[in-house]
Amino acid sequence: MISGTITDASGRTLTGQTTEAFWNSLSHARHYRFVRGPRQLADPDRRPQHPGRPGVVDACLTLPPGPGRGVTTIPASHSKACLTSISCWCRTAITTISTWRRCRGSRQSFAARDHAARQRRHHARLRMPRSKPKGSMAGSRRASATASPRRWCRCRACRRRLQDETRPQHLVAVENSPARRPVPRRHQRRGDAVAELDAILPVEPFGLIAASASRMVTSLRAA
Amino acid sequence: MADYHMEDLVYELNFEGANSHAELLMNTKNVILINRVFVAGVLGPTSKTASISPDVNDPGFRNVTFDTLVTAYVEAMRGLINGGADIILIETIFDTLNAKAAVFAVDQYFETN
Repeated sequence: MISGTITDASGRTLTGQTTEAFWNSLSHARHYRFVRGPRQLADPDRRPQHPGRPGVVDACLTLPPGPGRGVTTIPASHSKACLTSISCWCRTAITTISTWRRCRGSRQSFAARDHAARQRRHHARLRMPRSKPKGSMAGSRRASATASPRRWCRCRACRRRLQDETRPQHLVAVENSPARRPVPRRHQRRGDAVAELDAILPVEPFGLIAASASRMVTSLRAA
Repeated sequence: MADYHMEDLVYELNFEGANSHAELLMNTKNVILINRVFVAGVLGPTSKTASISPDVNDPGFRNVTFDTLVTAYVEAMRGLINGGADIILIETIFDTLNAKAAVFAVDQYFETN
């Protein structure tokens, strides 16, 4: 496991490297998990530098609690909404969210902790994405990792969201147009004559039966 | 540890730190805990950086070299692994060259052992 430290608001390490550069420098180590603190995720202005966003880190990502603090680093008042946005925003790599381990026992913190547990169970089914490396380095062993980064989760919500995202918008407009509305199933199975018969029968069923009976009597008399 | 002249205690401190947690884990009777909990040994970044000069008047000066870092990391990691650590966590790396030295030390240790 490797842990990195982003020291300033511009998203760089002490030696001036960005998150991508830091990751590309160490991705050849074939480590299992990349560890980053959740404090950067709590601040929306600093999320663009976080390695949890899609396509940056192709390893598992752990968000441990803050170092040595008695309270959580993310305020419990907006923690649930923050976690929801985190899970939707960087859903590629998060496998562990243990942010609320050191919360004090308020109702909101407990709700946030339960929400984190649900999110953890949900994201435990995520597949580890493989992104194409931004650059090749000498000795890099991940140069051929070019699998699709789109295959994340198989749950119904994620599949529906993924379907909406990947479907071309002009096809969506055509599918939703009135001319392409789906035909009801009963009209597909039956023809027009049957449809007319359906329209007549409820109105004069006995009249039709009487007509056919009189026709049968006439034919019998003629015979 | 070099700031306090305690380089000789690196192996002992890491060994005891990892061994105490490993013994605690082995003495528990919770089977789920035994199967799912791992002991992570931390390789610290050290107090010295290999990429930045500590002397503003001499930008090319370095107070630590790559080989010195590798030697220190191997010594610390040897204590952690002998103490029972399951995972090596290269912790809080602010300097990528220090991280590279730690990764190199990990590879070197597992190749030789």
